[in-house]
Amino acid sequence: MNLYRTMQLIRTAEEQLARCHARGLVHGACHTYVGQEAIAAGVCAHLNNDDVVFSTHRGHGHALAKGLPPAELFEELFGRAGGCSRGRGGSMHLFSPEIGLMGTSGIVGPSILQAAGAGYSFALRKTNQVAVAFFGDGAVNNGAFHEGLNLAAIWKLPVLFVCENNQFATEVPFAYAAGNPEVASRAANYGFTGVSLDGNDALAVHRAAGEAIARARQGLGPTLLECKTYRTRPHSEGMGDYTYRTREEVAAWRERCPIARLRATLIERGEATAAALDAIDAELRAEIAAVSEAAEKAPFPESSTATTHVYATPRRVDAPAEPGTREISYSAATLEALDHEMARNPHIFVLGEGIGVRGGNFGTTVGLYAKYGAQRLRDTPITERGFVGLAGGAAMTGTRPVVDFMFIDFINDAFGEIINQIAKMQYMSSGRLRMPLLLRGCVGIGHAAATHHSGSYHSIYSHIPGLRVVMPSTPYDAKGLLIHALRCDDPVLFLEPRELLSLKGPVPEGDYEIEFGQARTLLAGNQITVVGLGHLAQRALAAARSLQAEGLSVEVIDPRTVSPLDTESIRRSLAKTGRLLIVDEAFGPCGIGAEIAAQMADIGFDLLDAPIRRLNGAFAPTPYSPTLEPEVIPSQARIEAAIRELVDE
Amino acid sequence: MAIEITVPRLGWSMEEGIFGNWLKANGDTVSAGEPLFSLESDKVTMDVEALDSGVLHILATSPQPGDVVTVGQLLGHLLREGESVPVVSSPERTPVSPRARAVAKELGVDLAQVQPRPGKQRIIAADVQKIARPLPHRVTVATRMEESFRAPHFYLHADADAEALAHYRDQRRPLSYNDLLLKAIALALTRHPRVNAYWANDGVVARVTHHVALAAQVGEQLLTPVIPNPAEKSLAQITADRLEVLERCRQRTTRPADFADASATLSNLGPFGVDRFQAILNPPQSIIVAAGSIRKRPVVVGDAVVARLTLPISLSVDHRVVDGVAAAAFLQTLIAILEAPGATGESWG
Repeated sequence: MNLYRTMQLIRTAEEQLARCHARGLVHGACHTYVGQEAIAAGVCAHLNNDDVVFSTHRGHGHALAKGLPPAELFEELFGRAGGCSRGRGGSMHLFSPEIGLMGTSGIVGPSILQAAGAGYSFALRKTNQVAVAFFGDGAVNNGAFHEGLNLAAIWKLPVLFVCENNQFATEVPFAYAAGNPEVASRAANYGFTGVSLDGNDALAVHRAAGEAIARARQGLGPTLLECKTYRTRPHSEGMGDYTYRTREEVAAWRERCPIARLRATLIERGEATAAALDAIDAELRAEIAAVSEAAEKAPFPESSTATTHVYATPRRVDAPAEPGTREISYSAATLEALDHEMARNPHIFVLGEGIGVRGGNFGTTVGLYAKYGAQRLRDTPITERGFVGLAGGAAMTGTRPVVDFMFIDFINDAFGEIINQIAKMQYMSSGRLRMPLLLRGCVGIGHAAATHHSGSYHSIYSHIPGLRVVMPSTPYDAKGLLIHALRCDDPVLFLEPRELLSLKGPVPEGDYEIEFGQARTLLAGNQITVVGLGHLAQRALAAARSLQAEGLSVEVIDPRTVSPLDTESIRRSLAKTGRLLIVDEAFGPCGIGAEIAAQMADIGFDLLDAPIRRLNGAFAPTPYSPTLEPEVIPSQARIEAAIRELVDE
Repeated sequence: MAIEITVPRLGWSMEEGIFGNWLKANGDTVSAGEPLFSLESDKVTMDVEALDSGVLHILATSPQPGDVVTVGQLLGHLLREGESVPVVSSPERTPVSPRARAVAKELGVDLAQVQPRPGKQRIIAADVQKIARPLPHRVTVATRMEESFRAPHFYLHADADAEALAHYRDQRRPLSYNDLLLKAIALALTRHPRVNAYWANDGVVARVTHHVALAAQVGEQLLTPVIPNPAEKSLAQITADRLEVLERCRQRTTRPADFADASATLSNLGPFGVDRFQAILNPPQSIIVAAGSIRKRPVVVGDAVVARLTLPISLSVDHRVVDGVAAAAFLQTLIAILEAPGATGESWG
């Protein structure tokens, strides 16, 4: 009876939403679940409020089955303030963390990885929760499926993977798109159980999901359910439907309606009377009519709040400790910071290749495995998209993952997970999800590492709202900023210039935090301001010191964080000097140097006595040979020449 | 190709000469060897002969008889049959840096009078400041003053009626008189750009910012931390900035910027019951404002002596930079602002 009620609720609500879409009340897309209701109802019937689901662009059914009040669904699709995502999401981005609805997504695949991440959180925190990923047949030919299922398998995570095989990925037939169209059989590739089901049989789904969830709660690992079904409305409301499938096929599937089928079974078995079921139908029709009418009258969100919740509210931080006299290396400083925070916060865990017993390619985790164990220092397969997506799901569910990329170049395999999921999650959930996640790796050119191990990507990632991008150039800054990053509720990209890892400098033994968005003046001067980034902040400092002998007075500023960027400190320096040079080994076009130049041309126009200049790495991949490599990065001599030239302007 | 007619050098040392007159008329056909114009140097007057043949075209800007001309100056052209007068391009506008433009506006300097440093294309702020340097008598005054005083001060005194100020402040506690004074000094500085300057390298250097320092006793130290730009800030922001910088002083976490680039200093001994005093300049600033205690004092209003709250203000001034009248005008503005807080058209927040 409860299954029937849930399915009918979904159907009644979506049919009303389709009408509202036709009336123009739904401002964007509207992807219905009509014909697939048995799956959401059958699976979610086994979930507690604190179990979590991650869903797809076709997520109305999962949301309602997980307990979302229909009013919040209607208001969200109508763009109202009371919507479950407060008007930030719409049909494809439904969030209600309070009831374990951790988000539906307009991108195919991430739900699989995020559910695995939630499973990781539950295992680490030793709760009895489970995570469910809903996804369509379109997702199973995607890397996220392979990577997510494999990670869940090797770590025996409490996750249920539910493939709703409705036979079309948008309008592309699954039979055409899949080399092996038997989805359930693919679980064997990862060493766990896959079950193929009639997804229109609510009782069969309910039974199989119950078994799988029980196994997950017992610590026996993941299960894959393939539920074969069909959506009987178009991919999205208002779209044409009969180019890629026939009217006859759709009509035949309508005859196999899961709700009518359950109704017949319940009556046949004597578990319900037709009158009782009719009463439920009538009650739901009345409820949805009332909800729809009320949502039409509900207020819209205040326009002025359009950019709130991009970031968590920054914490107030005490002034950092003085550097003192103890000198340690950049690497030792970040290791000390990570060790300190892992001891303090049991929810921090590290993911990466060779960061376990080995202690990291760059010694980022040396000695920590012995202290904190395998679950908190987790060696990964080489599957960047997989473990970054997983880290996103973990961050949403109460742990604080640290992803150690070793070389930052590898991050780009996870670009979509970072840009589309991790960076946007706080905003889409209107600040109700937090994303305490640290992504770290070594950047920069040197030692013939060549082009796949020499990248600098701070500019690209600083373009993205929702991310913090940090790139310290001294051991002192590295420790203070890393501790701050590990206490911050935003996703942080922490970039460590490889050529500076053995640089020594004064670092206090205790913990201290350096806030984001505060530049540091490495050297005071009054003839020219040089803003240096990462490795080149130190090289600019060396150039400035060498030019002191020529009587040139150069001010060197290290922004320390690229996002947020401390434009005020740069402007203040410019007020003193009237001249600005930006030195960065990353590519020039669309880089952070261009951004600084544009901002200073705006807020510092009347301070300029000369054009703003940039000195960047060459616009080319990084070469290997020792005669080629130094050519693509500004040398100290070139920095000095650029300073002289600009002072002479 | 048109042939240029220019002023020739007569003898070794000639740089300039005096133009006599044209010996041919505009449009005349001239043959090589014919006299064209007369020219006088300090040694000789001679008729200058044409070196080539052609139709004479005299420039519209040709010198008049008696005008001083320089060697090489273009006077006209000799044209061949059917040739037209070449367009004489006017020299390109000298580029001016945005900072130089801003400084020129602040100091009221006409950019047409400014030249870039030798060998440079662009006028920069320093070029403008050089022009804005005082007249020679200013330098003489400064030199003489410096002989007697290391920092040649003079002092001006005036009392502000503080009734309105006290009322304004009482309604906005915990706003302090210091915050109001910082704001008022900065506002007055914005209206007196010549006071907003200091003496360096034998010249007056103008400032483009209006930061104000506050003399403060922190532990055993007398410090003068800077409140940046109070003129453009709300009083609440000034209060916040003041408390923050003083906290940094106490915590010893100040940054170089906390002590840089102030135009003036406020020294307020009013809270310590000091009636009035004269303060010593805080180099390189050219003024310091000394504030005494705000209390009721006898004031003559009409023909009666009445008790009113007054605020004694003393201004110490670097005479190398600012003269008495300019300083008095500044003090007058400051008093006026203090007597009508929030009513100056500026944002007081």
